Amino acid sequence: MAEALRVIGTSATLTEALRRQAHADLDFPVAFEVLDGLSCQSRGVLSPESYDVYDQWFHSVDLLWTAGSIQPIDTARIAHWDAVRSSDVLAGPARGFGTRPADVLFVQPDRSLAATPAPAISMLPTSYNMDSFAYAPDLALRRHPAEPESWAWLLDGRWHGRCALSLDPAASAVELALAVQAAGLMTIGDPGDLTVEEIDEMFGHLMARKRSGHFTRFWNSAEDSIRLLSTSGCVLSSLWSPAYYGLRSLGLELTYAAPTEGYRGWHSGMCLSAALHGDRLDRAYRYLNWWLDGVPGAIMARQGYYISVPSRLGGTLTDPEWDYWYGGLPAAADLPGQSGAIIVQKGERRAGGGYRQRLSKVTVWSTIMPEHNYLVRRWHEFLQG
Amino acid sequence: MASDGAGGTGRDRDAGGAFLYASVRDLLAARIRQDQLPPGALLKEAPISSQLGISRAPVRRALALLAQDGLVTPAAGQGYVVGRSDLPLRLSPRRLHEILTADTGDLDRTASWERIFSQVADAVTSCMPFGSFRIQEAELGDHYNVSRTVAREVLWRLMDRRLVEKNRKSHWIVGQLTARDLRDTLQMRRLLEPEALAMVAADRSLGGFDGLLRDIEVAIDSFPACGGAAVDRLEEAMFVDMFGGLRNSRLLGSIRRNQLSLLVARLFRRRFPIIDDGAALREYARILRHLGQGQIRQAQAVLHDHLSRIEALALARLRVLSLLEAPDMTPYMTPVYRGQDG
Repeated sequence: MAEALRVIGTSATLTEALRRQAHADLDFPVAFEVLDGLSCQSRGVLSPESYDVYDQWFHSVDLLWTAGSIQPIDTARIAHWDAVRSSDVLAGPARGFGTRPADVLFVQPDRSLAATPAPAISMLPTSYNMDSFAYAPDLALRRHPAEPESWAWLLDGRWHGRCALSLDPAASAVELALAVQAAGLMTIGDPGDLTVEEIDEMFGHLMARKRSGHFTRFWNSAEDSIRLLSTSGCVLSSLWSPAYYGLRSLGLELTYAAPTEGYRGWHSGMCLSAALHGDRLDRAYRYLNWWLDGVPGAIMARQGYYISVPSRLGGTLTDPEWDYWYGGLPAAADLPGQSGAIIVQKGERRAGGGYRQRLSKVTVWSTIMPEHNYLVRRWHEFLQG
Repeated sequence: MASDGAGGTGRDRDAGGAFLYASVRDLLAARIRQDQLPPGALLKEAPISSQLGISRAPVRRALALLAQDGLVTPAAGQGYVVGRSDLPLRLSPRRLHEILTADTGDLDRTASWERIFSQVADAVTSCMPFGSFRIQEAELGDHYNVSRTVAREVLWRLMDRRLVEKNRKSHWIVGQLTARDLRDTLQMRRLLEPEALAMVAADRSLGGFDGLLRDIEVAIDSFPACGGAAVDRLEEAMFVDMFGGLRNSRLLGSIRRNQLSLLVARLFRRRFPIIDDGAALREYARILRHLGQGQIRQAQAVLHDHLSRIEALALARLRVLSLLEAPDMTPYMTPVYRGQDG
């Protein structure tokens, strides 16, 4: 029996349904190690010998690449590479601030990463989505008539002390930048590339609210956010799609916002450890190819994620599933989540519309911005303050 | 600054090397070996400390250490004599002054700050990517066994290098290294260093760069097996030692104040592979070959391009450093949180 291929990632993609499917489809064992996002990122950078495949966010690829922790992926060994290249995210016009996946995709001759096509890539693009926040009926009741959903709600005193945020500054900082700007507290040039002065001013506003008790809760994984929102009296939280559908399956009536200022986009993908070689490297390529072949894409769709090769979903998603998850159309039937439990009722529509419509409203991508180092220290002060 | 940190190598970091008693011991030992303090010369705490302008405690300890080493022996009355002479030779205050302060005036307070400066600069620069820190004068003095006056002198000199600043409360603060600091200092390096390179070239013979070029070529041939420490040494030779002899001290000061990118590279290499340093080594070799052939403008252009090229790499490396825990703090540095005692 071959040694297991070691995959590290978060619960967002390393789901039980995916693990079962990998076990059924692949003729070698795959061991998932599920970590919270920041731990996974640190492992990816600091301990390349401890994993074979890194399944994580595109905006972290620059860190792993600079640290020499991953090796280039040969696109000639990716069966559906042409389809990935022409995906809506990568082939469409470059849109949004922050880390646009295409900008850090290709390995250039001088080892830098850029959008100029080349035979090797840093990370194989897989799932992506457009995130915002979800809110409870309590909040909906206090909403003014015709008041648009806005990132400014993260700072709104009407639900003082009942807001939650992600612990990851790569996501939360850009969301809060959108929030302080939408609330009229300050003007920001590029929410994906904050200056030192903007970071200081933003944290001035945030620290005041932290001290007054506005921000009291933070989560570090989808499960954590489900626990938080289902038990703590939170009425608004930045939220990932699997957690949103997970909460709905628990009976919580949350609304997923389509903020007037646009979404925070993210893209995930897979990297090969720099320490990987030989047979194990071959198995890693087979695992990557399996990911794009249709079944994993359908599993991801059932928690609200899109896949870089949607053309392979024809045989793995039913028509009503495709129409709801990708098309933004009313569900023609009750739809199951990954576990088989019904999470979408017949007649419901996905907030924000179809995938192209939602993608067109990405204002900023999650990012490790140039002043990330400074931002992270201020973020820790904010969390501790 | 990186130059100071990089300069704090083995000798300065030797245990005790920063302590005043050790430098007094070294000075007296040197004068004894040079026969300037002849056998039989009577050495007493009070006149020596008076001539050196320091307290008696370090002199007492230095004499005791010299006695342990056998260079001096306790005199019949007070003090020690050089060697084992039974006939103490009394030196006039003037003669003692001449002997102890010949050449460099080695051991006034300036020598004290110089001895610890590179160590403090190294500690400060090692922390800069990881946050803001406050330095306590008194703790700094205690840590190095120097007076608060000397500690303050060190801090003023660090401020001159823009490694520390005084905030509104007059606290000494080590500010966090930001992406903007890196961009701004690299811009300054592009303005200053090509010009300085031409000055250095004018002062050196064409063969004056051959030794360094050979070392760099050896490193390139064995890259990356040459290791990060070799790259550290070559960068120091290329950017610190290279400009060390500049007669224009203002230019030299400005160069040293702006070499933060060297610091980031050095901290990065302590933990991560040097995979991206090969290109830099090849650029250094090209610069030196041009200088060796008297092609100053070409050398300047390669240096300028190098300093442009590494900006994105330096910024990326700074982001990677954000994942690391801050190094162990020296006792005189404490993290500063905004809104607290910063």
